[in-house]
Amino acid sequence: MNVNWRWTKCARQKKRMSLLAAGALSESQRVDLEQHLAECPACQKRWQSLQRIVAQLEQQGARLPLVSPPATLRDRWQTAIRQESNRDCTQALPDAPSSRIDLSSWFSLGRLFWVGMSACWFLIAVFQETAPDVPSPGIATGPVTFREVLLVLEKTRPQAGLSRFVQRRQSDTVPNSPGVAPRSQRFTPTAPQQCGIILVDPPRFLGSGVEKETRANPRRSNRDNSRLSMMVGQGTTMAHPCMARG
Amino acid sequence: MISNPTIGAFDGLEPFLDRARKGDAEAFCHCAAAYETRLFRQAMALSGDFHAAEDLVAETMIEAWRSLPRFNGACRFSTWLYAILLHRYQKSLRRNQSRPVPWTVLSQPGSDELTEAVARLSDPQPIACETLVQNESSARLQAAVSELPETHQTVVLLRFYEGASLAEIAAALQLPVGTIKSRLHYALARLRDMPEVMNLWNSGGDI
Repeated sequence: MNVNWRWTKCARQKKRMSLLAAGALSESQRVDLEQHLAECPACQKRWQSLQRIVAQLEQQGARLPLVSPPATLRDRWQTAIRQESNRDCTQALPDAPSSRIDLSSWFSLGRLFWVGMSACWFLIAVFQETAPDVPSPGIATGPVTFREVLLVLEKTRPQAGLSRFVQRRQSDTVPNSPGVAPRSQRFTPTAPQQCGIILVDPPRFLGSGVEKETRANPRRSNRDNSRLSMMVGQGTTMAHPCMARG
Repeated sequence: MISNPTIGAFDGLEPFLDRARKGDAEAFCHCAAAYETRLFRQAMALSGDFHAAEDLVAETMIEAWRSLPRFNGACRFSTWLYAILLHRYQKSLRRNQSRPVPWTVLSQPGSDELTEAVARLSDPQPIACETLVQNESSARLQAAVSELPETHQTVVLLRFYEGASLAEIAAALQLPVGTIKSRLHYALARLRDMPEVMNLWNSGGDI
């Protein structure tokens, strides 16, 4: 126990010894160290060796080779500094007015990129400001789900015979219900043509009970929840690729 | 013991340094010229080669001019210059992958380089030269210092060769004082543990 205590105390004093030898120890720490040195022969030995090393280093540092620099040295670095200073001053001064505009220096790649980006943002902002708030007839503005499209078709075009698709799509939301066809046999539209011609009246669709009904159904599958960005026009259908996944 | 110089003392060159900081190259040249000889001798002590020392001093001065905006006056101008000199010297060592022969090694008896170097002395002092030649422990210790890691070597040289205080070294190297204390401690401890250094005073048998 006593040995351990002494070892830790010596270890703590080692750094202080180096700092004292280098003349960089505070007064209180110096007193503490001197007390320790008085009672510890091992540290005393270490202290003596450090003192000798430091004395030798100081002696060596004070004894620089007595050589004089060559006369050309001063001209060498002073000329370099003056030239550098003049070059900096020249660069800092504005260029003389020129009748010819140097376009190559202006059209740098980075500058062109930022100009292009700014123009794009400006155009987008202008179109957003000038675009009509009410969508044009025949184009659904918001994203809709596949199930919503089928329900609308069921209401507007009952003769199209799409009710079975609606039923099957509804059955998807209840996976464990009895009598449901396996997933592989369910309707999977692989191309817009399979959906037939879809005619949708956006204001009617958006305000209809279909939207409320689908939102109120908490058991909609993730597939049904995936929003389909559709542009439904007169006689044409542009379906999102996830429709083809079924 | 080394007397710690007052921090911020620039040997009366403050007005020139202020002008130099504002971009006055002539003021900087005036300031730096005052330290040229000492810097050259320090470079000579480090590299041991006249032409290498000349290159080092020129590079140091140009580097100091470029870095002058970063000099905040927390250390002496000479300390700051010496720190740049050490940095350039260590960089040149890394670049050349070969360590130049130190001055103390050159100063061995019978060395041709020594004769040439002494012939170039403007104020030859044979006594000082003889002392260098005879002082073998000095050469050994310098060789041991050059074996230290660069960071530790820089602190030792700034402290004992330049005589800078720990605060000045910290300011010149832009490091905390605690880091400088640790580096100094480890450098001295490592020097003490080196066999070549231990053998210096082995005749006394007390190291």
